[in-house]
Amino acid sequence: MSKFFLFLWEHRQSLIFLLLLLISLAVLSLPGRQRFHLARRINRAVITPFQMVVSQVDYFLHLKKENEILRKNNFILALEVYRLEEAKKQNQRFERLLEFTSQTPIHFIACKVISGGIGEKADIFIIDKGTVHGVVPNLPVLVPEGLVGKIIETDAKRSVVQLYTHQDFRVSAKPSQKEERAIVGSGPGGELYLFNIPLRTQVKPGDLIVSSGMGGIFPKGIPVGTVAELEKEEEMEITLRAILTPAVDLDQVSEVFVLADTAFVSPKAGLLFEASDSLVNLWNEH
Amino acid sequence: MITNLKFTFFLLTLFFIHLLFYQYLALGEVYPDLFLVLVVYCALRGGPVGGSISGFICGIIQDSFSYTYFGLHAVVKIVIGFAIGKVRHSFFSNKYIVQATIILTSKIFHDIIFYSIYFSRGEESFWRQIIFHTAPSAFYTCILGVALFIMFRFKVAIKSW
Repeated sequence: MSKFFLFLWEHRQSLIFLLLLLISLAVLSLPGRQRFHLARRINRAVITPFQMVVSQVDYFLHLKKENEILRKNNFILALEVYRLEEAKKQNQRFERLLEFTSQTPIHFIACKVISGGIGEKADIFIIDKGTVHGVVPNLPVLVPEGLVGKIIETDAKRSVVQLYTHQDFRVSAKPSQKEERAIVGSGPGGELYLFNIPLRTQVKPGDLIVSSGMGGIFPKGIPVGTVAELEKEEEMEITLRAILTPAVDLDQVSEVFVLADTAFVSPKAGLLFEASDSLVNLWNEH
Repeated sequence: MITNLKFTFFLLTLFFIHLLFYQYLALGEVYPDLFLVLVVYCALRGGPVGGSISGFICGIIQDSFSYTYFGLHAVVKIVIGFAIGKVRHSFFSNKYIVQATIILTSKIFHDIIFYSIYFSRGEESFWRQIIFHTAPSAFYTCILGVALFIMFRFKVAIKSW
């Protein structure tokens, strides 16, 4: 018995190394869902409490500057409100005349990114809003420039955003000026691709790719990226794939908007999205 | 005793700077990997065991942001920590230039192993990643790591765990 312990002691360096390596490899080969929960638990226990503190300090440091900007914006927006009030009344009069029904207003939840990764190729964000603020899984996450991702998990006061760089992320998309639907997804290196484009396509480099509104999560018209180049898909040479330059640079994102209007995530979403032209207009104006 | 405390404080500084201020340390799109610096110094001082354990802890924490490859940082950092710990006697010196070279080389090996697994599904951008991401990041990491080390001004006495 003592020989055994002596052996263990003599080879402790290699044994500890092998044990830790095996644990890491076991973690790496866990099924997706278990891996997700384990990663989330570690993230929540070790990182999020500290990053919440830093996030708050950062928030207060920038509060004064932000306040000044907001005051200026407030003044400009107040003037704009007066103008829009008049336009709204005029619009209502026209609606009554033409018997149009007004659309439901779009409801966004503004969120701060608490943490966005501390290593290579992070594919999630943690944001500071959760179920108590109305955030639920599968809501789209956006910034004014375009698509960021979708909510995949929520706590009471925090949520996890699956970014478009995540390998499981998919969104039905199309060129903004054409009706040629395809799927946008992330490649193994986090690059953005438009998959399954027919050989005789009208898609060309420089085209803006927007969400098509199909698929039940993302409304129509959100910019996803711009076509950088077209190439044949490796295995199926009857289709092409387009390499996209993402509309949103994730390194620059510190605040996001969750599209909280549940009408947009109904199972009949395809039809509802077709009707939600106000959102398309919102982006076009931007 | 004081050196031990200083060293622990140095490690904690690296740990918390990386954990809390990672986004603020970016120079354009170049990010440092202070967790790797931590693993290197742990391996230099504590040997293969120190290197492996610190590599495991730092790697798992970094991995908690990447669900797709959860465990990959840990695997790579354990290997790097163990390797440096094993061969430290043959090259170790308290000269800063030696330490900077060790960190630089570690970061390059770290990223080569990391991205060769990450891009193993037949992705062609491996070398682009190494040239445009790893090389600047390696220089930045070694400069920042050694600068922090100099701030603490102590010698890394080799110990065997």
